[in-house]
Amino acid sequence: MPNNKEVVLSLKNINIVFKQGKKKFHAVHDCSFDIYKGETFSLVGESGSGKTTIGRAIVRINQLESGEIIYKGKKISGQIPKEEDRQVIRNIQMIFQDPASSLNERATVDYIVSEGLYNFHLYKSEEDRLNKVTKAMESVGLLPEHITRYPHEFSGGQRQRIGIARSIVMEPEFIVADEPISALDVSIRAQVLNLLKQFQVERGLTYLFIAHDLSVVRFISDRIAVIHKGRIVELAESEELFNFPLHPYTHSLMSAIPIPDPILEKKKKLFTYDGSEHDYSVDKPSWVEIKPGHFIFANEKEKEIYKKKIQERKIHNEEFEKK
Amino acid sequence: MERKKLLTIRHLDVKFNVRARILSAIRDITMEIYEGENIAIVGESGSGKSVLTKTFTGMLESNGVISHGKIIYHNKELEDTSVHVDPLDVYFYKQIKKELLEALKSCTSEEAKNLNTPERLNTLAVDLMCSIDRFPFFKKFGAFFKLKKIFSGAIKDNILLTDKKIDRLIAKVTFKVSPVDKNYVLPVKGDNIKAVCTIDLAKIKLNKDWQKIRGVRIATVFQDPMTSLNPIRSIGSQITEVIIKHRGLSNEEAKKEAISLMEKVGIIDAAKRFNEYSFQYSGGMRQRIVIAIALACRPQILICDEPTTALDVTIQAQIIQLIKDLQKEFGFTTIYITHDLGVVASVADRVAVIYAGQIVEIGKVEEIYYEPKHPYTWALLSSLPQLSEKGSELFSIKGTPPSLYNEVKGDAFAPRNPYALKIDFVEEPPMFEVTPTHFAKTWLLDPRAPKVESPKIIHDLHIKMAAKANLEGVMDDAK
Repeated sequence: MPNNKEVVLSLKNINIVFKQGKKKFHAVHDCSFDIYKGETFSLVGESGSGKTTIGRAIVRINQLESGEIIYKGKKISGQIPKEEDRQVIRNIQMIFQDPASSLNERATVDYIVSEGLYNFHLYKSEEDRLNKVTKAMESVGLLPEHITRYPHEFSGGQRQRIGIARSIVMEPEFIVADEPISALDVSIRAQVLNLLKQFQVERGLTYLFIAHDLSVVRFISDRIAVIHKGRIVELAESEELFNFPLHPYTHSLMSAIPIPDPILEKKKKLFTYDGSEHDYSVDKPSWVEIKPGHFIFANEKEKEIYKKKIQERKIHNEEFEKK
Repeated sequence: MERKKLLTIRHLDVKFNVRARILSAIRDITMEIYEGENIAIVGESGSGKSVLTKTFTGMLESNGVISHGKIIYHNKELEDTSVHVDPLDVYFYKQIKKELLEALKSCTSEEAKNLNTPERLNTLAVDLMCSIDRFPFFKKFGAFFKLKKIFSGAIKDNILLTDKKIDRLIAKVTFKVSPVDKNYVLPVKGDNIKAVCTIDLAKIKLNKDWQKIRGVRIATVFQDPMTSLNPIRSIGSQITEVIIKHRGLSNEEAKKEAISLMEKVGIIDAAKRFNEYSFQYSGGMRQRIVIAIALACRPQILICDEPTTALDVTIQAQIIQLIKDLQKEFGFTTIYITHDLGVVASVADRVAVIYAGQIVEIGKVEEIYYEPKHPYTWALLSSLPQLSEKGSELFSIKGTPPSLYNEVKGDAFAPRNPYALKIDFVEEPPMFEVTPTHFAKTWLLDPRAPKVESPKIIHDLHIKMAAKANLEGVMDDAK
């Protein structure tokens, strides 16, 4: 299936290093993946794993050490012409994690939402701009009269929706959503997720969704990449990944999700992962496609084990279907 | 099975004074907490779940008051006390007795006269004297005058002073302390009276009293481990401080105890990390330290206020496991506050669902998940992403919770409730009993109500979850 899809964004062996004086911190190691048009691609991992760093690198906030990011066939990382830079900033928008700190407290909602429009002069007249802002507000379920208010007058869910309104008013093609729901309550979380889904259907948006709540990730994403300590360890379609996790880290993440079912949850066993199960001293690992669409970070020996597992499962499933 | 009650909460109301407006955060909550159980309190933000537990440790913000109700804490150790009689107490006793007997003269009802005998009033005077003994000098006078006024007024108004009535009247000022020996009638200077008190947490005002409860017998683990630790003091000193203060150990002993506690909560190389600071710890490790501090005094009740919300899934699972393991060892009762239904399923024996300051449904965890009765619980379960078909719309509760500044008419959830009946907008539903352990506050359970099916999406929850969960290797006994 993925082959006949158009690649929108492609990350090629990117490395990100933070430096402070002589100190260096390698945040992202040699990471590559493609994102197809119209899909929701999720990055999951624990805090400090580098998932937000990747998201920020895509919107050109973080510099790459090496590697490149290609957006619609054009390189968007490193030094690029100013005109292209503006195009990228316009077409790739970001929704930030914390609705409390990502909005300018001293600006009205009107200004916050239309700031991007001002910068790119995307309106014909003042009337047109207002029209666009109101439309964006309505589409996220806020009222037009809200635009004269200040962010502190809104609840957490409403603030997050203002954050969404300000990204979609730019009519982007690609949105990097950095944990847009982790600061929200259960009922509001559903509202925001539905909203994002609705935009995707209506406007053919592509999302890069960064999250650590795996139950939500499973519900919304088409494909998922699991990242651990700056390295992507496994990448697959979401159901495939949830049903047949191969990498031990993915496995430990899955076992950590609390299941909202008292019987199952109380029987559940917890897996811990500390990386000690790998022996990479001689046999160096690499990024391989172990099954069409299912990528994993493994060395030769592990590859054999994983392939065997897949084979076993195939036989098991066939037998199951015969029954 | 008869279990021992630890906390009895009756008709609790908490009000906040916010910029000259009154906000009713807790509205008439009645519940019990039993010894050794794990109870989870579930609700949206602003529903009052944190406020409720803050009343147990007297940590309400300064603009909040318990306007009504009681929280009785059953603790043998604290209930036994002794009252030392000094000349001032004898004076109070004599004054109260005199006043009460005088009031009796103007009592006209025969029935009241028969019950409020001088002997009985004498016992009452002794009780009152004991009850105000805990107060410091000046407050003692205040309490004395208040109680004197209340009781003489009551006798004049021909009120029958039954035991229950007396308790309630005393509760207006303080909680009751009465001598163990019922025949103790004449307090004499220098006596040491053995007494029992009924500890009503809602009535405790003195810091001295709170110090015997907060942190010692009822401890709290907060959501954000960064703000609950002191950044400029070493981790070790923060743990030993509690041990030295409350358990009276020496510095050396306290350090030993602190290191063993740190090891228990899973800090590797505890002796070395004893002198480090909180910024040198990761989020999960900090939360472990907060738990260690909470457990330093071997509390009877541990309140976990969203202990894992700020943490990652993997760390969250470890912390929950840690609390469970420690509970087995120390045998405390835990009260979890959370909005994550996954966490609730993993930790709780009983669940209380709270909405707009009221408990709308309470029951065993299996009853709440598999046989929910309240539409709000239905809605909460329906919005679980695990239950929705991929690509379909996720269920979301329409509207917003009611403003608690205004008086809520009828059922607070009615405006958002697709199953609301007409009566829901007019009259508040009572608690209906579903089973002896399961109660729900909805008119749908009234025999006169139309039969309403719970939403299809939450039927067979267990089967649906089992189908979704990757059972392979995760379960002890797969499938």
